[in-house]
Order: sequence, then structure tokens, then C-alpha cells
Amino acid sequence: MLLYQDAVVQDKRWLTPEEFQEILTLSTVFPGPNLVNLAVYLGLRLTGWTGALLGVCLLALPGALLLSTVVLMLPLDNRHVFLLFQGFALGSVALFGVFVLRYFQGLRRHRIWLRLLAAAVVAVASGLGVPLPYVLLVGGAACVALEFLA
Amino acid sequence: MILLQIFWVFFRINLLAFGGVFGVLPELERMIVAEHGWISHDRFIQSYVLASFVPGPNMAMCPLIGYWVAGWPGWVAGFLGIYSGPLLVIGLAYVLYRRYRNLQGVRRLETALRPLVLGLFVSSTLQYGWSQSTGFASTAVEVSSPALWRGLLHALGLALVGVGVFLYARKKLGPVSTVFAMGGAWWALNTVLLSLARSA
Repeated sequence: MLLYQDAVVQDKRWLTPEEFQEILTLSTVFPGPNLVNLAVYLGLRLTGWTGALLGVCLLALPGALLLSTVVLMLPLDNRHVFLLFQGFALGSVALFGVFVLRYFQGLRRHRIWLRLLAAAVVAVASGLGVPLPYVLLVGGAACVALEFLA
Repeated sequence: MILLQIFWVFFRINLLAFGGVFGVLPELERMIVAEHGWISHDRFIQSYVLASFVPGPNMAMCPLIGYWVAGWPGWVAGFLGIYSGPLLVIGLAYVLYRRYRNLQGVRRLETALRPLVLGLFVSSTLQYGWSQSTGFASTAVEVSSPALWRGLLHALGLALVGVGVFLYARKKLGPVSTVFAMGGAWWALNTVLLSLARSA
């Protein structure tokens, strides 16, 4: 994300920092992988649908192809490889844990307990296997009500 | 038919993925592993882990899963499924936003939805931390009292995640070295424990 910002705002001067911030906010509000959302929005903003399509393909194709070729060559059922990859998975859980901690610090302080309660309810509900669309619908409505009624 | 199903699973997960895709991984897994039985839980996790090593979005795992299910046509269906969602959703958002330009409202909506996203993140993190700390207990080995070993491995795995969080948050290690160090540590730990378990 940071690399993206440097390239688009500082090197190419396609967008001002404010415009970039705008696009970033929009791509986090809407569902979907943020980086892909960003690429689509940027493409649309700069050159229209062709740019958006090109942006997504260039962003996603190399990694996807590389991944599939690598996986075809790996003996994933070997016990040592399996354990190594399980350790890698624990590593990415740890990285994500740090990200979650930072995300938590970005919550608004105003009535934080209500917000945390909402987060806890969402976590428990999805952990207990309540279907995600319901969690999103009810949780989203509750969060919006919390924000706009307060 | 199977290609349409692959496309639909990934397209649908996009529309649910608020705050990025990590929050909906359990849902994606439920659809792919439990509902359709396309691949095993371990395969699913491996595809996620591998995808985080290649450049680009982590969703590189989706075409790969498509490939496992239906070969290269499946790969294409997965690719189209996961990446056409953002094109449509953001395209619509772009048009609406150009017309009604109200960033204050959008920003407020984003702030409002944060508790929801945080909840999804926490639940995914815990579920994956738990499901990935099975160690050698989930590979085909014979040990006595496997339940005891499984419990021990879960505890050690979660402790290792704690160590990783600490090292990365305190900037003792970078992201890639954290992941590699934990891979090595987990392998070594399991190898030692397995030989203990066998001799016990």
C-alpha cells in the first residue's frame, strides 16, 4: 500500500495526496481486497474501464501464475514440508495479530466500550458459525446506528 | 457447471469481504471445504500461506484452488470470480461517488464499520491460530496418548504466535523474517517433540 502511494503520488504525480487519501477511504469501505479495489478505482479515475481492467490484471496475474507453478512443484504432503508450512501459517497469524492490534488502536475513543462490545459480539457470533451475511447485516446496521445516533 | 460454481463461490466471497479478505477466510473455507468438499482444510491453509509469499494480493490463492478443483479452466474461473467483484463494486461506487461526492459521509461510514471489521479480524485470527497449531498430531504418525500431545501442541503453537507478535510489533524482526523464523521454529519444535513422543 505504501509502495503504491509513493509510485502514484510522488513519482508519477497522477494524484494529489488528498485524492489518494480519498481513494484509500473508498477502497476500504467497500468489500473486496483493498489493494485490488484501489487498483480498480485508480484505473477508472485515470483512464476509465480499460485502465481498471489492466490494473487488476497486472496486479494479480503475475503472483497468481507464479503461485500455481510453485505449488505444482512442492511436495506438500511430505511431513517436513507440511510442518514448515504450518509454521509459516502461524507466522502469518502473528503478523495479522499485530495488524489487528494496530487496527484496534485506530478505533474512535468516544464510547469505546460500546464499540468493543459490538466487536466482541461479532467475533463470538462468527466464531460460533453464524452465517456471515447475517453477521454483516446485523453487525453493520448496529455499528452504523451506534455511530450516527450517538 | 463446476466452473460456474467456482466462479460463484469466489464472486460471492468478495461481496462479503469488508475490511479486506482475512476476515472472511473462515467463511471462504466453510464454502470450499465443508460445503463443496473441493479440497482439505490443510490444502486450504497451505494455499493461503503460499499466496502470502508471492507478490500481489493474497487472493492469488483463489485461482490456485480453482486449479486444484478443475485444472486450468478452474484456474481461470477462480481468477475471474475473485477479481470481477471489485471491478463491479468499485465501478458502481466510482460512478455514485462522482455524482454525489460526499467524502465526509464515506469516511464516517468507514469509521462506523470498524468495530464490525475488528470483530471479524479477531475471530479469524483466533480460529487460524488454533487450527494451525496441530503440528505433527495431524500427520500420519503413531504415538501413545495423542490427545495429550494435541493439547500440548495447541498450547505451544499459540505461545509461538505470541512470541511472533511480540518480535514483529517490537520491530525485532521484519515481516518476512518473522514468518520464516516461525516456520523453522515450528518445524524444529515438532521434530524434537515427535522423537520424544515416539520414545515415550
